[in-house]
Amino acid sequence: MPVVTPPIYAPGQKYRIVSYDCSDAYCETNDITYSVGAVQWDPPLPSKITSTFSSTAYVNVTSSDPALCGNPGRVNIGTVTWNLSPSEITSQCVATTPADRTRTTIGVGEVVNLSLTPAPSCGSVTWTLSGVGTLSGTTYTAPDRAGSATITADAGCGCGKWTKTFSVIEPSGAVATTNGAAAPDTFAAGAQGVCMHLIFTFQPTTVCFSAVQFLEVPGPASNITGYMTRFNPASLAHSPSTTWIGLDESNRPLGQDHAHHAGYPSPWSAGGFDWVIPVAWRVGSGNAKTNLSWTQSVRITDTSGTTSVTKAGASATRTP
Amino acid sequence: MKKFQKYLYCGSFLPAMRIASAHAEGFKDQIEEAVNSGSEQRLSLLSSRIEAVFKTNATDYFQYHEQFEAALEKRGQSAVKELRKQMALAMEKQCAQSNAEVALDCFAGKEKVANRLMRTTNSKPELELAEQLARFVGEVRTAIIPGYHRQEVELNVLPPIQTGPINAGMDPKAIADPVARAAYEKAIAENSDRSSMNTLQMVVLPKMDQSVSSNFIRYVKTMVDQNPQTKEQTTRLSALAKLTEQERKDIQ
Repeated sequence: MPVVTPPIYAPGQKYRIVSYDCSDAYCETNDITYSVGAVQWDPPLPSKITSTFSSTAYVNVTSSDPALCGNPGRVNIGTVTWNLSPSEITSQCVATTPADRTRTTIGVGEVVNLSLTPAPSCGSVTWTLSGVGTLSGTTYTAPDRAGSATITADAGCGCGKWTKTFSVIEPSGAVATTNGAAAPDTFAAGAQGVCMHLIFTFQPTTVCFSAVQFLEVPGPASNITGYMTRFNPASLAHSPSTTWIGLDESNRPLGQDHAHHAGYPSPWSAGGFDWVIPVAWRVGSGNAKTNLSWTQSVRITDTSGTTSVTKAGASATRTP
Repeated sequence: MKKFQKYLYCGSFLPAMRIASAHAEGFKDQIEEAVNSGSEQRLSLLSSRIEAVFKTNATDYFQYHEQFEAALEKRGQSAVKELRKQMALAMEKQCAQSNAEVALDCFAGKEKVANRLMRTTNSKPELELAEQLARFVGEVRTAIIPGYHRQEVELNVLPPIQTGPINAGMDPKAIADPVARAAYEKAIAENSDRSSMNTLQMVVLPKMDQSVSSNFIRYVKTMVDQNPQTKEQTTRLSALAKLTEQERKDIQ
């Protein structure tokens, strides 16, 4: 609220001249004062200004003898304009991918910086968290499981309180594409073998899962058919890397997959096996969750040894 | 981690996780009992046992430590002194860079201790604790390799020597030839090391640097606000934390 100083009207004197027929002019002097009323606003000020507002401050001035010295009446002092942007909690994801860093749906383990802008002109802001995750100062870190979190910025009674809610989601799966940049494996002419290098992208890509680490869980081969039944099932078992692999901000692993099946001797015939691979993931060194899976299928399709491998939507085929 | 891998190769992955979890649960009971007894002797004995774990398994050490600290925090004011002591012990640990896999768990465990330290003292920051935090920030920054170049890592390693049918990601035990099997096991171990180093350098340390340094700066600023006499220590703390010029200005 601006400080408005009303004008001061100094007291004065009223003066009149009366003429008589046979004498000198007669002068008469009397005191006169002016009263200045309280500062008023036109239009009146609302109890709370939330956006843009203009008003003119004025006073009413009255004379002690309006008959001889008229009332000055309304005297404008000045016009004040308030341009207020209402404070709100703004947030910015630390991850620069996806491009929308102000999103409120975030991945497990994501970090978000918060601020209250513009800063309220009153009070002292206290930040609190209700729901999942952790809040350190104005930095919110999503937990390692899905949930909802509401951040409150409280500037104190009469000043304001603001909230923002975040939805935390877990990876729902992954899609694989062949890595064209990887040098293909070489096989001797006439030898059975198939290979592909894969790059996974964890879904959805509307959030960042760079806090997530994952690994494929070992397991036996299943659906062993035809040609492959001649081998000891234990020799077909899957025993992938036991080291957790991190993801980048595009939800891609810091490494690629290598699907390579070779050296199966002739005579060939149709047959194959599957690896139904559970996928464990975690945030940081937190507890693992194994709710994802994908399948790697190997098939020799004919007597010429043509072999195909498919995994998470990607595939490759080769004939000796 | 060797123990963990042994379980993995002996059976499936999930039972291995359950075994590790059951072991931790047993220790948790002992921690609860010692803390609830309030006996200094029992707490000291428990502390010694947990400290001994660090030499052999940093992952377990920080897991037990977290349980110990949580139990002490739950006890409230009567256990504040012991909680401070335990947090200081954990913050002294050096997360060796030589083994990236251990470093991953060590840094993550230490960050949890740092967060607890700040959470429990944020309303009244102390110089001694600020110094512990500064050393941790400095340790994280020292561990970061500038311009780190991502190393090649594969989810399923290809046996380097082919002596029969092979599948990338096959069980090493399925390779009969000892030379080929040893070469495969070596390739798997090296792949694991590279993977851990990638995760440490490209994900964990950069994120940790960002969070612990900003928390540290806020902690010190609050400390100086509340106790202006500590202002003269900010230069020393900034040096310990290896703060940038801009951060040093921010902390003033």
